[in-house]
Amino acid sequence: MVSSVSLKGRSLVSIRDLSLPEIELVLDTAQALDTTRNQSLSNKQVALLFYEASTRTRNSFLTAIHHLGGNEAGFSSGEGSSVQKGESLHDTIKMFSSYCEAIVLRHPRDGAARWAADVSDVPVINAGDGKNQHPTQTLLDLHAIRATQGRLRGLSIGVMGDLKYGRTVHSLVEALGLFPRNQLHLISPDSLALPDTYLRGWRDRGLQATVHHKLEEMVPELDILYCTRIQRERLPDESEYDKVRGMFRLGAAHLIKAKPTMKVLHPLPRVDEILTDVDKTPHAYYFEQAAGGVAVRKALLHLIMGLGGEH
Amino acid sequence: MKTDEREYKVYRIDHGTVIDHIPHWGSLKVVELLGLRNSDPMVTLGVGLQSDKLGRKDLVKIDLRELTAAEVEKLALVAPQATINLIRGGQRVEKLTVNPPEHVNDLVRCANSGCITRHEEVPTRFQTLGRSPLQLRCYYCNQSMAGDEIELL
Repeated sequence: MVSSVSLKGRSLVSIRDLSLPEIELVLDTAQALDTTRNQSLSNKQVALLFYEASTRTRNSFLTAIHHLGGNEAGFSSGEGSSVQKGESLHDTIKMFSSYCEAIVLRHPRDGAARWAADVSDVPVINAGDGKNQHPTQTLLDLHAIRATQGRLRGLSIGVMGDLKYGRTVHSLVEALGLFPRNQLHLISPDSLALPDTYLRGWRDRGLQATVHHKLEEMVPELDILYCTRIQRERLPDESEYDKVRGMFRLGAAHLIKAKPTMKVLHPLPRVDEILTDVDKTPHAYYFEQAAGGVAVRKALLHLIMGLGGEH
Repeated sequence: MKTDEREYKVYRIDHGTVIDHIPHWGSLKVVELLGLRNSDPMVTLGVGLQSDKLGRKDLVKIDLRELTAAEVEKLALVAPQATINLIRGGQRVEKLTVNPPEHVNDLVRCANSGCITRHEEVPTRFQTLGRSPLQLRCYYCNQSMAGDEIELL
């Protein structure tokens, strides 16, 4: 692919910062790099600034840096660092941007990543800012969809669970709305329905989004079923939570009429919204999905730091 | 006995600005927004006046002061339906309606208590999404807020 699309020197704060060709560039690069190890990041340092705990995201960035032969600096959970002494995010970012080539930031406050990107002299990759954005999760979700379906357009995608507060769902819905001929199927408790604002892009492009009340009625249509966890604190009381939890729990029995190529995705960690009997079906793809996070994060570092050019 | 009526009447101004159609009790916000407490002019507030358009309304008269274009823009944040009358030589010479700016920087605070701007020294930035009612979206956390949620810094 010869193109002028480039992410060199750019920060990634929100999935909305990327155009369709730029998303495709990241995914093409992730596919090309896959499990490759090289030294393209040698003598370069990436700051991993994790103000709150994260298992998957932090380790997959760390693995990505090591696969590219780079070094990491930074801290995890803000412990034992100048952060605990009360240093502002502004000052911490200024300091790290003076001796690292890129910054990966996880922060509990909404909008922290945009502020950091404005302050920093080097690119900032948002690894989750509060309940706001987590764009690398969206990229790895798209990577999993493309890996299993061979495309990101003309797909029928079901999204189930907490669609109101689920940050990963919001970004994924917005990103899928960039691709032509996709169809969206939504299923959630009424009180946790998808806010209309995330469907604006879909409507503008004339794409279809259908709300369902029964999982069984939408399963046969789907190429992808993306499940998310319903958190207890999102519902008014315990009895409502118990009721809803039972209704939005996926088991192997629900998948009998699914297309053979249909895959179930989940951002993980799951609790009990996907029963373990689904793991043994050919539809389970959530562990492979998470594993793809390393390739996607390698691709991002590669492109943002301008290592080895665009392909 | 004849009462001195002047005591009870609102003073007529010869030169200055009359801001009309401010929401009821919104005049206090206008005083804050324009920094009138820190300046010298004579200011007259009318609170809870009858209005066909708003039911009850407030009015602020500022003697010997004309507003800048930036101040007129800012007024839209607290009084989106306000009309601004410019008085010279005892006559109204111009009548303006307010128009919210496309971007609102460092004037209002984000309604999202989890926003970085509420926890660190970050100048706030908003994009205007809608004008009636006024709706703003935070540049940092992407949350939108409208109407009473909009508070001056």
